[in-house]
Amino acid sequence: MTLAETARIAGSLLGSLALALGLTLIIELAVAAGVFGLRAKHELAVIALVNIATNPALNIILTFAGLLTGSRSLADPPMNVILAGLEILVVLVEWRLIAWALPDRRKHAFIISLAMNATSLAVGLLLFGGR
Amino acid sequence: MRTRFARCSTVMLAAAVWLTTAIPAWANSPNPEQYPEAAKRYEQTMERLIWGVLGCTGLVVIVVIIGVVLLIRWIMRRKAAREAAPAQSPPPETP
Repeated sequence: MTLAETARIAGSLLGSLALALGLTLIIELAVAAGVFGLRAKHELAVIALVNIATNPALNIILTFAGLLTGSRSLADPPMNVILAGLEILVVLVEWRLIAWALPDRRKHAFIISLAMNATSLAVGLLLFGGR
Repeated sequence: MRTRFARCSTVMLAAAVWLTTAIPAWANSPNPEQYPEAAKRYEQTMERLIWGVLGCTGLVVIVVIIGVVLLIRWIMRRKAAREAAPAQSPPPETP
């Protein structure tokens, strides 16, 4: 593998991670602010930080899973099971982080986390069609 | 602290990404029937590489999560300090 090829693949991987994180931030912040009324600066910062913690981790693990299983699509049987498991884990982690960081919203933290992640997953699947 | 965290995670993320790009090179492994020694060495190198990539990625993920938790704590403390500030009213000005 040449250096130029390595740089191209590394660039595309970093680009896709940045695109996924950017889209997730836009969608989840919109859901949090629009549906649940989390509009204070510190609330939006917490939602953004929680996503920065979970989204790249999820995508890196999915990339590895794809490389190790040889799957090219998220619709393939091993990949959709891994995606479902990771999404459940992300919902649980975000729920605990939101409940801890925003005590005023503790009651609705699980619903907020579930709604944000369901929306971003649905939009991601619609836009990229399980690629 | 934030600068140090950003620098640390960027270096590790870059290392993880660079190592990740080497995984597809596995397809170019030497034919084990023609070159058994070279193929064995290649397999060992690639296995070490895979574990290196997984280790780097795991470290990046852990560092990012720790950084996020620290930043959230900082946000919570700042909010608490701001809420406590108006309670201490300034002394009345004397003419």
